[in-house]
Amino acid sequence: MNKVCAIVMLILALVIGRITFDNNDDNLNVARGILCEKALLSGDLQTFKAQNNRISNQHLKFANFDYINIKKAILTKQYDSATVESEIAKVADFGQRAVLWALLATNEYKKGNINKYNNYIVRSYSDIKSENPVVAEQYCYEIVENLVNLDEKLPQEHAVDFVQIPYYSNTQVLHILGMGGKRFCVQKISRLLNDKQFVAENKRFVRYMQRAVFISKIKDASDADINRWFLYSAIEFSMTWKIRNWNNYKLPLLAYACYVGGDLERYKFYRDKSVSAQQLKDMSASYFGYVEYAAKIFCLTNDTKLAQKLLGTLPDGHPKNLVIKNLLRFFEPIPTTLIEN
Amino acid sequence: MLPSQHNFYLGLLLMFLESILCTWGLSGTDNIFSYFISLNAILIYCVTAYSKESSNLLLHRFLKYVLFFLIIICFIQYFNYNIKIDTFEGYTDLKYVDFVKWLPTSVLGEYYKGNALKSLFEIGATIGIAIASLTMFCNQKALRCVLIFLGVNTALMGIYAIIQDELDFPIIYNYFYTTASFYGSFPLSNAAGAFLNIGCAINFSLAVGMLKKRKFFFSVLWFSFALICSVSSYMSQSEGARLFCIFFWLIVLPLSFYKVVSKFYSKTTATISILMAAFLVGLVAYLFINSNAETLVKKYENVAKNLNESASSRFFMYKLSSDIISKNPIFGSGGKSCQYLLTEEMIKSRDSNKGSLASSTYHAHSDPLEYLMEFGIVGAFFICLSMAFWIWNFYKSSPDFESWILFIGALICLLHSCFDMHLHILSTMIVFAVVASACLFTAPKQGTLK
Repeated sequence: MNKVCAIVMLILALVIGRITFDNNDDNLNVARGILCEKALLSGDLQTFKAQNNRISNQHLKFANFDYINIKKAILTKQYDSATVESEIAKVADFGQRAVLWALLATNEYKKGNINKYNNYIVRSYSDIKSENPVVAEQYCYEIVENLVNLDEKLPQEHAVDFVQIPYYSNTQVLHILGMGGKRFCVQKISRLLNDKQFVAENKRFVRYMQRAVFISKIKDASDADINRWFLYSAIEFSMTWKIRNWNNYKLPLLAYACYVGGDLERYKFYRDKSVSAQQLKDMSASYFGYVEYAAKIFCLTNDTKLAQKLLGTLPDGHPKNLVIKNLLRFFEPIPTTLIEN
Repeated sequence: MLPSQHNFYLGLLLMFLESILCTWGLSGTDNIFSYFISLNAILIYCVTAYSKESSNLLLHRFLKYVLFFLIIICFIQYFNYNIKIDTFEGYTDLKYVDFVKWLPTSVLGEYYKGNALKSLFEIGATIGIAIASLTMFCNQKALRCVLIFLGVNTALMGIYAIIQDELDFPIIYNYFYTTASFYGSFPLSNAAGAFLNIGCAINFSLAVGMLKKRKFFFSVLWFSFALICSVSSYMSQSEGARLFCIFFWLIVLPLSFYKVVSKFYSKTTATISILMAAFLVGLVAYLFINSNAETLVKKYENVAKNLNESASSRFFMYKLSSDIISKNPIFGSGGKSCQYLLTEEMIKSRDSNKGSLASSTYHAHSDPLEYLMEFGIVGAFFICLSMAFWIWNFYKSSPDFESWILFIGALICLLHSCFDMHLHILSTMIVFAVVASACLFTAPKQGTLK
């Protein structure tokens, strides 16, 4: 029996060796799915086919063709107003439906149909609220980005409502802080902060909203003020207390705040400090977390090459795949080289 | 003796390699290191499984059956899963599927995250190395060599951890994907503390062995190694490791005192003197605490607060764990299922109205409870029986003082694991298995040298 057990364990070791050294996992498969979606939207069928074929888990193969077709039609404004509503209503996923309603709403807003805009945005809000807040998260941020980019009062005010729907995540923090650069968002946030009932009921948002308001005036703030406002903020981004120079963990966040606030000189200063060799060495206690957080910020500040460079410092493997999955949506366009391995 | 010198040296060489891997391989938390540590343990097991020599110990024979049943149960668990882990863009989901209800079941996650197969590989490797140690350690030379190598490695790890903590020495391999409190080469400070406590027992046992042989220099050297391990364990951020380190010395030092006095005088004198010493130390401690009460309260206020916080979060996890156990009490919920099920329960139990953050955990922070959760009453029965046979074999081996020290070290590790999870951390599991096996053989009459 002893010898049989030894042989079984040895065979098991060989099988597991094959699994252990195979870097492919579901996080990479999901990342490929995101790439497929982006490729379909941009009409790049070659990339779509290549990536979809490489998804090893059959359940994760790309299948949202209806959603993508409607989305593409709305984005390119090649849809029939009479039929698109019924087509959206057929989409089963609440989150996807909410995104489509929001895209339709932004189109109508651009046309000046405020009534229709209001109607669609309410449908979008209703659908996203029907979804589990965890599942709704990715769709919520897509809607928020669309509304914020309209640079108009009503959509930006609605964006402030949408950003509060998901449960907490550090992406949510970045979106709230990002609103500091949007005039109408800041106005609405300031109003909310003056509402005692809102402050009492939404404590988790208040501190980020206060920072968003500060960011709107960051050009006039001193360095000491900036450091004071963001002293503990980086804790939300996988910071371990084992980092001795914990005070420097917030550097990418400071860079982001300055970028959002329009202070590009300071942005460059903090950005360069964030990726300096000394900083990367100091952050090694939570290196993967730091890279994910810094790269996410540099994607939002359109420094995607820097983000890619940072990602390149991570060794290939399952932890890197998770980081890639979490970051891929932030890249525009997505560099396919990220998931070539 | 093993059948041939080749087998013997090969086994010994692999044991040395295992000591290095366990000490410096990120405690087996990283998948690549975990693989090599387990693979090496299995190779050691294979080398000894094909040797002619075998131990007659009850534990040795029983562990072979345990491994056999573990293989069968884990394979059934793996194929008869009742929950499948689905990965999505921002979250993972637990998907309930049909399964054969009267058979062992598990949660099917990807291997690198943890599933029944990974559980079999790691626990199987630990049982394998325990069986191999019980065969190899019949040879006193092998036993000494392995203990010396392990002792040196644990002391080096202790030194490394102290330097790293005090002088801001770079982290081993330069990066982690963790927000946990790493210590030395371990990504978890409490596992590092437990590992160092075992190292302390090994080194102290070696020091006593050298003292018996009147090799004073080596005795002092091993004793200093034991002290380094203790200091390092004390400096780890784990309050549990600190407490159990103190507990170890509180048992071992009076025992040493008793041994020395009884050797030079008599057992009665030793008993009386130890009682008197205990009374005197108690009196001095009482007077000291009484006169410095305020200073001490201030000094240890934070420690008490930390312990209180840690205990409340642990009891919360224990409560949730017992709920999970009650759902599948006979065969358990499957190897490595704790991280999924307990995290699910923790997320469910949070108060979303207050906007409290979702917390997750990999372990129940109590090894007996976690093994009960994963392998049910059946698994717990095998574990309890193994422990019973271990204690029985130790009792029957008429242990000498060195064996007692190793036994106490292993026992303290076991007690500590009731409130922590280091017997789910591969390195600590393997070193525990080696030390628990070693304490059955240190008695000269069990060895082959005398």
